[in-house]
Amino acid sequence: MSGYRVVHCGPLMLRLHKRRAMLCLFLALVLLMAAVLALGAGGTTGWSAPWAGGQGKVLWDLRLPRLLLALVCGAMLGLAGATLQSLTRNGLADPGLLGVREGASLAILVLLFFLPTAAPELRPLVGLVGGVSVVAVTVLLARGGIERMRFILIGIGVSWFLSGLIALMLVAADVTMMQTAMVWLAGSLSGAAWSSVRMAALCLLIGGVLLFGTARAGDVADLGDHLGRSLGVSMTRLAVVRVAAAVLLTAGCVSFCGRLGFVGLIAPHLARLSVGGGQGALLSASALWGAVLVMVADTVGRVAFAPIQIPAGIVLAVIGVPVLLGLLWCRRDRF
Amino acid sequence: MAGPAWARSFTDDLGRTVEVPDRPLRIVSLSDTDITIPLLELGVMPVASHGRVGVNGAGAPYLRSGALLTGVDFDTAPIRFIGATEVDLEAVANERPDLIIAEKGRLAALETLQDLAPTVVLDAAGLGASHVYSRLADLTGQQVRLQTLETRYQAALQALKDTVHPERYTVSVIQPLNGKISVYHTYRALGRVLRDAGFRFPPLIDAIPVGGRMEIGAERLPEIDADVIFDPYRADRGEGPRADIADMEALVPNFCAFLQACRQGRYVMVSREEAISNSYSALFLMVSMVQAQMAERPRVTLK
Repeated sequence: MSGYRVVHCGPLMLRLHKRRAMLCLFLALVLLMAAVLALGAGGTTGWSAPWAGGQGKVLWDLRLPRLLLALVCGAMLGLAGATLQSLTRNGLADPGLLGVREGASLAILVLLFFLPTAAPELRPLVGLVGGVSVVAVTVLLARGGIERMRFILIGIGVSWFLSGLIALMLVAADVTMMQTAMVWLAGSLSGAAWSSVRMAALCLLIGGVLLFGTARAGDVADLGDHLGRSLGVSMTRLAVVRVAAAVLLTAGCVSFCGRLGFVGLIAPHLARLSVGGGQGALLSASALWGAVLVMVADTVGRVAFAPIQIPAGIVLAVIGVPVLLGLLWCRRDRF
Repeated sequence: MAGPAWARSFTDDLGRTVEVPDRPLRIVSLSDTDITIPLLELGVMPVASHGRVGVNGAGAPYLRSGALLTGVDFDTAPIRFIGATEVDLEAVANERPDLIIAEKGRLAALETLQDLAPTVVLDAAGLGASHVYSRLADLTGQQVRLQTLETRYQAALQALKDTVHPERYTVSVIQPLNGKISVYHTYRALGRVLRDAGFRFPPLIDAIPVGGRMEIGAERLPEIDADVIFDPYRADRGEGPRADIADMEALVPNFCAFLQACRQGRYVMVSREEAISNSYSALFLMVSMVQAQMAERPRVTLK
């Protein structure tokens, strides 16, 4: 059946495209090897095999949680980007589209400025509240029409409004607090701890289940509103579930490591270029590419000029622009 | 080898109670100006410190005002550089610290730092240099050294008061920064000397909360006029006062005409590296500078 194979697992049945599954597996293997290399890379100590011993505390308490957080947050952004691009049928959509990123950022900045002594564990919760609140306001303003272009446009407007508020806060902030805020906003994973890895993984699990669970309906929705409805898909319900998942993933990611740009935009394009296929393949490959991008950016920022640390968000911006331009050149017949 | 003696609890400026060693031997400082320089003046050499990276092409790390005020820098002392804007936590861990001291404004990854070693946070910007010196002396057992520094400063300050009679003059400290004019309630060492000596400030500056700053537009320039205006310029970039004056000109063309102090030749350019420090060395320098600028001098009458 045109390259597909059906895999049975107890009562469950999964239809896999053999070539795309192999490509995803290959991508996962590349990711695993890159992760091992990154785990052994020390900024001031050079590379040493992670299993060689003698670097227990650095490896276990600093490098491993940071690496895992990079992988998890990259996957979250990849999934959120792929979902929003599919929902809006716009290849330029990214997780900042609906103002979720700005909403989460603003909420955490308020926490940083007014409650600097608050436990770091509060940040994800506050970020989620900020992100979800922004989407709730956007939905209200759009009068519930979540699948319409009106919703996206209002989201973009809210996003710009919140960006203005963030800029206002930074301008008015005390110069000493601004330093902390700027580093966080630049997208840094230096504060990674096991507690943040666990919470980020939970967000990824919930968002991933929602997205992969609706992937087949998403394939049908890609055929268009009328055809989708005629094939029995509730387009509104599907959009609500997928937007909720994207909001959770984006707000969660911002809460743990600040504003990491470009990943949500580029990862889905890399996924389409390398793997292609429907929603299932797109989501899998986007998550893998997102994880690769954030992990590579964070490792480069951590070791390239050590002990000087460059936030992953800045490395991503520097790498991201050439990659984006390259993509646009490669796909110049489509854009 | 015996482990450190966890002799006591210490409540830091975030209100956290931290178990700290009685006599820390391997201190890592996360702020060069606010923690490292004071530690050096108290006679304590940290094993590692936050620093800056040269902007003149050299790229070598340095302690801001370190060599200038204490004679100590990364290339002259066994202090490991652990990063600039964001510190390298692995470099911190590699130093095996028994105490990490952070400044509230450069606070990051507190949870992770606390896992590496007892970490205390001091609020230099909000609570001032005197407070930080007092806390650092308490942490390191250097109260006697601090008393010596304070006695010398008070003596210099008294000499300034006797010479200048500060209550007769108004002063202000301003600087062009990022396209705006910044004014401070107390501009670090320079501001502290001016306030401790008893100079008067324009009402606009006195209205700024203690430890705060504000940015003003060109139209409010006359409100910060005074008998003497001090303008700290960046000396670390090799640009000198000319760049700072050019910044002021860009903000307010012919700005000198709007300020009586400037028209009468009492707009004083001061090296920011010394003025911005919180150290006693900077206080001594600022006392001497203010005294030299404001002491009476013979009047020359040209015929």
